[in-house]
Amino acid sequence: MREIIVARNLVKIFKVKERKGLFKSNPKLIRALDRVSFEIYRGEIFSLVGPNGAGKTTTIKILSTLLIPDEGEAIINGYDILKNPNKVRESIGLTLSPEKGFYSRLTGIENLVYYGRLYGLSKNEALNKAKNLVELVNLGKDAYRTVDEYSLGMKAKLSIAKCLIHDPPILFLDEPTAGLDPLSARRIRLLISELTKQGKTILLTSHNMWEVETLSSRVAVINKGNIVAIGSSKELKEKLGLKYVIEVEVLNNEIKDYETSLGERGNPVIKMITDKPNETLIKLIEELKEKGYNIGYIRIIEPSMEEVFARIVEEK
Amino acid sequence: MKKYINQFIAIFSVEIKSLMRQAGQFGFVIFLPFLFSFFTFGIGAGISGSISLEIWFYQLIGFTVLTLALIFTESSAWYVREGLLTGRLEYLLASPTHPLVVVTATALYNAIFALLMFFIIGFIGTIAVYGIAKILNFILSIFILVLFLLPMLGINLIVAGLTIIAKEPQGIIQPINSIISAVSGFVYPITLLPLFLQILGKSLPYYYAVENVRITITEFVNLLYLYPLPLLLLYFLSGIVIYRFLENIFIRKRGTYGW
Amino acid sequence: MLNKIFAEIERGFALWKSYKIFLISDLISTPFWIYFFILAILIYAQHLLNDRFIMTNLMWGLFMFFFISSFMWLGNSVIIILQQGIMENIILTNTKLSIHIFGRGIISILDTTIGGIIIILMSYFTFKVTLYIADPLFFIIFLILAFLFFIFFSTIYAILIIAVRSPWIITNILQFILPFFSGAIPIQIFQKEIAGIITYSPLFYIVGPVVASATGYYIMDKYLLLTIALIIVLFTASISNYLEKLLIKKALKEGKFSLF
Ligand SMILES: Nc1ncnc2c1ncn2[C@@H]1O[C@H](COP(=O)(O)OP(=O)(O)OP(=O)(O)O)[C@@H](O)[C@H]1O
Ligand SMILES: [Mg+2]
Repeated sequence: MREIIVARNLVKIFKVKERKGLFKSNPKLIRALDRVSFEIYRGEIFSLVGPNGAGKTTTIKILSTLLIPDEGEAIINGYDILKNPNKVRESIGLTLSPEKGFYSRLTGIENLVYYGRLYGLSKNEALNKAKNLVELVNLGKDAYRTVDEYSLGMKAKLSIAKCLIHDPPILFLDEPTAGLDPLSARRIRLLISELTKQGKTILLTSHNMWEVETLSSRVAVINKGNIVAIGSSKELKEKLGLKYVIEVEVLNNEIKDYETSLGERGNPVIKMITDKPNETLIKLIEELKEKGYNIGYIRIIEPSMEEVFARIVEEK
Repeated sequence: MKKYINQFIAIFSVEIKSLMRQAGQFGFVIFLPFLFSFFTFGIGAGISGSISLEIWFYQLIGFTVLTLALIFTESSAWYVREGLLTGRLEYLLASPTHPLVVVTATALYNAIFALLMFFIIGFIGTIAVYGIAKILNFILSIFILVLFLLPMLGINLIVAGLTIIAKEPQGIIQPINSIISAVSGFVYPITLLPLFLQILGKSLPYYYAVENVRITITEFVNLLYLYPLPLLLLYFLSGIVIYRFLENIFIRKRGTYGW
Repeated sequence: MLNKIFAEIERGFALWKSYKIFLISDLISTPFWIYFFILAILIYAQHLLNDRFIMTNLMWGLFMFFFISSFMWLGNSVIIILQQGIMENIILTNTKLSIHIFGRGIISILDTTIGGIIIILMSYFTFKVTLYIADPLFFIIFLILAFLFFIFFSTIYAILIIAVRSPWIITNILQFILPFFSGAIPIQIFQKEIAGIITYSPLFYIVGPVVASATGYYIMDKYLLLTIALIIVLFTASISNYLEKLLIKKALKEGKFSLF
């Protein structure tokens, strides 16, 4: 079976109290998830994006058995989250917020060994595993300091190491790079793509659209508890009819038949807007050749995921 | 000044709101001195076979002042700790809020809490033992108590400062609680203690607080017993100074709260 | 299972070592609490300060008070793992809350041992009473049962106070009240009516026997006591188990840890 994670019609409603003054409060229902369905394939990186409060964390909590959905079902690694939560828990590694979840008075290694043993590893296994992971996530000597001294980046690395301590096939990473500096974030990203090469399946949330686009094979956009679009970033762009811009620099000075503007190097540049960049470009180049023009540089400007995000979220 | 007042009201109202949403807890704390005094009364009577209402009242007031003294002494430490855990303290320190405003607001909230508690318990106890004969004395004793809250606030600040360094309030608060409880003569005459503990007790404000409150209720305001108050106010002043010192040296300069 | 328990115990030790301040704080506060309790009670009958029988009983009673109080704070500490987001991780590892609490229980045992030593020394030096353990074998057995009981008891306690804003107030209070209900202070030194009330408390059959085996004054046959204590431990274990399931179930539904 290709799907390793299947979510079907997940609904989650939170009962909250709206405080009014000191004593009064109104009960209110928040529909955090409203029929969320998607599949994730074995070995892919699947990203969940959406504005704050859209329901990303809620989805991840449900899939990792930390929340029970009011309706719907989900199968993780062949196990039902409701009927077989223990098996699901063994199959997944989870980071929620990287700055939490550790004993601040214990060292990174001690925390890892602790969790490893709770997952059923023997002391030696857990220690060896922890040492390897510390190297893998590049925590180095810091692993032997207490967590209360860690920077956010170190905690993020430790969180990912914690995810991996019982070697689960599936990882849920909720904003793993939030708040990290560009270099630390890049290391985490490298690590994530490294992990998929080892066969892990990863569900990722992030507010960094560029990160989502470079890392993930498919993306789901969630807004107000609904999945509003799903597919590879290319598919999403095409579906939205987002236009590519093609730039061709022409080295001749006199150009007829085409509208041009002045390029960076002082030569005229032909700009065309299209939703089928490949075909348009080939056609244009053949035409230019026929007419005997010399071509300088060629550039295709893709629409960004950010634009996809903005379009989808603002439309609704 | 207006800025300070605004900040003050902001902090104070947040605290009061959280308190009101935990009204059950307040009731529980009020219940406490009754429980304690009844228990020692029960055990004492159970062992000695005789019943003494005077001793019960003596201990009821003692336990009440003890409870509010402990709450008053600990509260900032727990506030600091919760602030450290949730990151709220860092926000507060980062905002242009003067630490003394924070402290005053939480202290006032605690004082209201403490006085309300003292009023309810003391009123019931006084009526139960003396009828309405001593009610006026009792009302007066509330004002006496207010005077003695100030030096306690000083100690409260020192404990809060120590908590910032020690990171774990329990480790600081437990010994302080035990010392205050044991040497201040809340529920037994201080003379039952060895001499050096008596001296320790008499150098802290709590002994004077509870003795003055009791004497005011049973006799009347007696200026003879109030003489240490000006001296005790030094606790208040040194509390502020020490807190500022610890906060500056250990947080701002070291750049870490150790969490 | 055993592996998990060892993992938790080791974590308990590691934490204990890093909380040196607790150790010092215990060493300082214990003698003061001893004064406080003995005198708060004996203000009603000050001449009993020289009564060997009463003092022996009160001192062992105090020992159990430290025992109980230490476990109340154990329950209280669960709040911290919630605030630090450790709870979710523990759930994900399929580990029971009571096993987790067991690990930290090791701190409580060390605490109590220190308390016991201080009590023995202080009795000898300040109150001039030498404390003996009359029935060492049963003392140990009853102590172990009490330990197990209070592991489950703290779990239940933790679950009940988990949503309270300042649980320390409640813990502070209950640590004083519970010992009185528990037979920590042997009922023989009470008038009959009060003794009668205390015998209705289940804690009485857990805490009472520890003191009884130390002083040697059993209120009933010790084998009968042992049986009753065992039954109570099992019963408490099942309640703790039930409440924990309920708590987790609610938390998974509502996304918040609270029974209420
Ligand atoms: N335990 C809870 N009780 C009540 N409401 C909740 C709870 N958890 C989440 N919610 C609500 O559910 C909605 C979805 O929240 P969720 O945390 O899933 O958003 P998110 O997509 O992860 O947002 P962000 O990008 O800010 O992390 C929000 O409206 C939130 O207020
Ligand atoms: Mg989120």
